[in-house]
Amino acid sequence: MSVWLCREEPVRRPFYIRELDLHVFSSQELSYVIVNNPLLAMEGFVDERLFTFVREQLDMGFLSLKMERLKHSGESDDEVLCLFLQEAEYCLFAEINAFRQKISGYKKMPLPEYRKEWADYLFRLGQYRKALPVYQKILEMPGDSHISEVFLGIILNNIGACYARLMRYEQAAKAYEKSYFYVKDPEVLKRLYLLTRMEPEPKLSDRGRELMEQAVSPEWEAEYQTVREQAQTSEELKQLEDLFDRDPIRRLQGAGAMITEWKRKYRRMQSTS
Amino acid sequence: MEGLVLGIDLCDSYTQISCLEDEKSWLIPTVICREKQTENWYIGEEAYGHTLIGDGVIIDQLLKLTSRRGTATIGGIRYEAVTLLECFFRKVLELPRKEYGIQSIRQIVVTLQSIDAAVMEALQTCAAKLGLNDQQLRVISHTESFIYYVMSQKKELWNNQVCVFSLSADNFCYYELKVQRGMKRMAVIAECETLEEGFNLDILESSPGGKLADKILCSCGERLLQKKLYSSVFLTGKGFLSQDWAPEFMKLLCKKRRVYIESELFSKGAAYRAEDFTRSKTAYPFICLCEGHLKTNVTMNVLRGGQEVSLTLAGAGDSWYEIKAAAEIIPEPAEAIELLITSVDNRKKKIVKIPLEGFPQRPPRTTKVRVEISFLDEQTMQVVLRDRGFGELFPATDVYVRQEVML
Repeated sequence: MSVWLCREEPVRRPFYIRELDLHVFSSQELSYVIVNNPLLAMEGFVDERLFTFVREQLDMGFLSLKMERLKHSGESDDEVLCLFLQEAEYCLFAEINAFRQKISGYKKMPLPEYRKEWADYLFRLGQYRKALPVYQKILEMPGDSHISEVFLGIILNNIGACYARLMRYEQAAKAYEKSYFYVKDPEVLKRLYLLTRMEPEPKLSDRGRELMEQAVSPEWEAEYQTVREQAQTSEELKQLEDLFDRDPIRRLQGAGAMITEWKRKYRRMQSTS
Repeated sequence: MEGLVLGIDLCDSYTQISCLEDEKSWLIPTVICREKQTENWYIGEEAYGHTLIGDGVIIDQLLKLTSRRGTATIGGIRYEAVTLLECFFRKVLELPRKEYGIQSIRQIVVTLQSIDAAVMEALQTCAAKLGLNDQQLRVISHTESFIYYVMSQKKELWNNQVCVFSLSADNFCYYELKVQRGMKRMAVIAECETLEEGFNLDILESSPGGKLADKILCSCGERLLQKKLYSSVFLTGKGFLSQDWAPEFMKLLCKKRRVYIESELFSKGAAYRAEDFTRSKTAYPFICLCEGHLKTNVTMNVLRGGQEVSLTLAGAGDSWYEIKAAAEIIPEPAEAIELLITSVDNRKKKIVKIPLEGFPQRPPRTTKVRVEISFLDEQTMQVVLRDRGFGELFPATDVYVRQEVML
């Protein structure tokens, strides 16, 4: 059994990480976030705001100074973060090494693949609006970027998924149509079919309609119906029903909290900054 | 003087106040009286005076009353013991305030025959009402006062064992002190024994009574002193204000021993302690092991700088009633907390494992636990473990575990 002793850290202004929509209140939390999100380390995470937090809120002035000097000496951001991880004494050496290796792996990736990793990461965090331009830039990369047709198809599929999550079904449908053109994967067609079952139903191009007529499978409709049924018995819906069973005052309070949370999630996925 | 630094020996029969400045002391009976028709309060001899005249109602045995959280009714008004104690205390403080013309209090140490949780709580309440914070008024036992009194004397007086016979209207006690060297820090160990042979001091007023008392003391002395080597022997308490009634006992004590009469031993000891509290660094660099102080270390092994080190939550020699230690830790696995209880000489070790029952399951190293340690008495430690979560990633819950540990 091991026990980590937590430093007394006078954090009054937590460190906000926009990508994760997360406030960090301690050096342990910051270490945890860094080591579990190595891609963040490569995308402008190390800046003056981080140094100020380490210096003023975590009360680690000397470490902050060392980090700043390292950064200004031209060392990469991940080395600056490794320094923090070592000094914060939360992560194990093995974890810091694994973090280094992951970063090293990302650095060795061809640019289109790395950009895809970053966009996928944003997608996993629910930041669809932010992921979109990253995917789109991959499509704009010059022809000598060693991008295969299958890779292009995957990127287009992911663009379609982003649009679908943002409820922009017309654009999602167009992206799926193009994706199918490259990958010829029936899964992409299934997604296109499921889109047509949404409200408002997107208008497909002539080619899209033609593809759909040829490939449509009764299994897709069955899957759609199953998901619909599951949605009707979902926990979220149950919470909503419970809310309406309450007395008017508590119902209003609950509704306020729920709508605030929905708005927060919606703003987060629409966020571009 | 920036403020008064006082030692107060508070007993049921008498109260003695010592101020190291000019070695000034006051001795008054622990009684309080309220005039029947007014709200005027009197203490000590004045209280007796008003009671004899018949215009006041007197309350004695204030500590016993406080200890059982009792009340007293004067002129149709019911007073809580703590209120009476506060009135008494306020009046007591007027004595040094008038003498020195200084109103502010820098430090008070109250010494009690033995530590009583209810009396301590009441004294802290009094302190707050008198505008003192809990650091300005501290409470220690007579045994601890004895230690500080002795350790303030020349080294030759405490090279070997030291003892005190205390004979007062409240009791007859024997205190013994020895200095233990050879450990990381010197330890001073003192114990108190309340002797069953205690008697009413009134018997000393007659010659046969005095002879009987002398015999009693001689038999106690022979039993307690035996062939032990004492650097010094002290006599204190009202019973020893005169020793004419105890020639045999004095003869026994003075055999190859230095004997001192010190009627203000406990209040002066408290004053020395009070003076030490005002210093940034203690002048008494020893571990104090006596009533009211822990005889064990409570530690926890934690990682610091990648190495396992011992974190002391409560140390031998700390006053158990003042310990309120807390630390935030991240255990892995988050299943239990282990505390190590070690005797002061490191000979006895005990590991106490407290399971984190009811704590939420989370990924490794994402459960921060606040460990709070306090003591219910010298032998009973209370441990509270609270779930502090891990920031917004894994929010804290209201879950906590409370466990009493016998040391």
